[in-house]
Amino acid sequence: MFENIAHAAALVFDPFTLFVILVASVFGLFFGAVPGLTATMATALLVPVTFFMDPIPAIGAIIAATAMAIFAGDIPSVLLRIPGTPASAAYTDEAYAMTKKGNAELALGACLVFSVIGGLFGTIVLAFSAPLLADFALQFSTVEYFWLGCLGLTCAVFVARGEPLKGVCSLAFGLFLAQVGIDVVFGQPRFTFGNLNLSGGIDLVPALVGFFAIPELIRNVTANYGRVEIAEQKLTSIFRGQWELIKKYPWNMLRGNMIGVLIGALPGAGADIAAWVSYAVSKRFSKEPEKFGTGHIEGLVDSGAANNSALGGAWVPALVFGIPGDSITAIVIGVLYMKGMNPGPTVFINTPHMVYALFLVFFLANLLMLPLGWLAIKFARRLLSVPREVLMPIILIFCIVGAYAIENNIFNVWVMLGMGVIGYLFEENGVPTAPAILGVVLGKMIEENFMQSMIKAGGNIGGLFERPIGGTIGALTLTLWAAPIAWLIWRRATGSRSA
Amino acid sequence: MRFSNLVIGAFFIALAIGIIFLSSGFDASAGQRFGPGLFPTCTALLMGAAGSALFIKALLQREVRPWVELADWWREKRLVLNGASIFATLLLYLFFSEVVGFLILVPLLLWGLIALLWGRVWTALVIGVLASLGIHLFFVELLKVPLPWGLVPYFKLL
Repeated sequence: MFENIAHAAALVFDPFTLFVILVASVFGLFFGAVPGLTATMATALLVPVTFFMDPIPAIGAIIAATAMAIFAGDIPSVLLRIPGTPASAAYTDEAYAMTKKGNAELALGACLVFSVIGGLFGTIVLAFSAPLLADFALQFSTVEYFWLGCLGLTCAVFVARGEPLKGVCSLAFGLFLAQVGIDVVFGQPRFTFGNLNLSGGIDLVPALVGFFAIPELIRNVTANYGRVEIAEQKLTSIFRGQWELIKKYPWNMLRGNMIGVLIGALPGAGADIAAWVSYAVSKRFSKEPEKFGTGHIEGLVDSGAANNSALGGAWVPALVFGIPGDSITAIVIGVLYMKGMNPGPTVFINTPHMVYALFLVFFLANLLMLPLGWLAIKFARRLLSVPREVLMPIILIFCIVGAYAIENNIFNVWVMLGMGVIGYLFEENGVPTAPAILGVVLGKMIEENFMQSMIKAGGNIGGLFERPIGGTIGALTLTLWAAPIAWLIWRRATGSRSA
Repeated sequence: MRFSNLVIGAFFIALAIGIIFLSSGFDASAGQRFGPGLFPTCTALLMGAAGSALFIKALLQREVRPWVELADWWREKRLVLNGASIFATLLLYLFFSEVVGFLILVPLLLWGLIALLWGRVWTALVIGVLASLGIHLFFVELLKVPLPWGLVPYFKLL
């Protein structure tokens, strides 16, 4: 074990890796702080660049950028009343109300300190729970993976925002996209229409860049933002009063951390949902609920910690089972495959040094957040004044080149454009995008595991329930599928009786 | 562009029918109970069921929304132009990058786009050229991505 940790440390503390982590951190801070640019978009744009790196700098860049972006989203929340990323939306009004009371310094300090604490908590949970789960998952066969994939997709639909029926449509659309290309089990070309470019399937990276970046670009250029008014307040001693907050709200901090990790681990639910739930719980159990909404710091402690701890939580199912906890880890799984670090329990046996390196990067990125976040707050006014009219065109070109660079193929730019249009229409019409992305990522895995299970069981569908763990997960999944229908029938029955 | 739930439901039903139709042509594998058409068909059934439920729900609720509704920004010419410029840039790159080359086309595209969105023509030109060179250097020199040269070699000959 110590040998692996030493090997991991050597990988992480390599000058190039440290340089990449530093640059990615600045990139993440910038993307988080500029309203309209999100952590997911930052991740999607980083992927084409990480394609050319070794696994640890590549993964390290994504971890650092996302952690920084989630925190930096709080900066415009406090100073402009505009959440930098969706993960900050839950407490934007509260944070801005603090600014109006002259407490911007305290609010920003709390956002930074509790983000760091949340991030470190998520990392500790990841570092301890993932190896234990992986040990357990070694007993899994294709049956368990099939059911886990189905369970993951079911969760994604249940926790997605908006109408559940649209969530199912979105999921089915993602599954359909995953089926494009030559079927790996039977060698049958599916939905390729004779196009050779589609034989290998729809490339995940251009699809993700299109799905996440293009809709945001369109939204940004078609919005009337006008001139932003940045609150004029002194932002020099942001750490003043933070220790008192930790002493005053230790339970809030712990609760926020735990909610974040648990929600983060649920497929389809990410940092934004963790922040909303955590803020609501904070208000519900507060001794001073009447103060919420008037610039009260308590909700910020809970949800500020929750959204950053959710990042670590989302990595647990992604690393152990290959099931993404959120959109960011959905992209990360693609990167892990590209880098030969196929997620699953065997990664802990075959390349343990890589896993330890990943944990180390998480710790490092969250610790780096303290000084870099302080600098970002110090230069917040300049960061927020960068004209979006200049940024958006440059990001567009970056998207184009990034999509092209994966295979040096212009067809991928078409894929990005197509997926961008679909992503924009989905968002405009309240069709959640997270289930579609999970469908794309998990579709192939589910189908392959099902087919292999059926070959082993000689085509007997009962084979899916013969193993104790697989059967239990299967029964749970089927119960979840039946639950909405049963609930609907029950509601009809009780409704007609009461009428 | 916002569609009513009736239209969204109908779209997913139509897509599901299309998938089932195409899947029916996949070769059944000899000796196997399940072939390559199984998962696409299951996916289509799921999509069709959800689409139908959405459609029926909208019908029962007598949805009053028009079938297609334009977002607020469609009422402002400037914003429509901004939105269209993103697609125009993408299409121009797709059709002309191989012929014209990255180093000629992208500065022009960036200049046009930044000038349109920001309004400062000459600053836009400087930013466009510098950003294009930066992206080119990063991808071509650092990451060794062969971005299209197009007409650039001819300029070198001159």
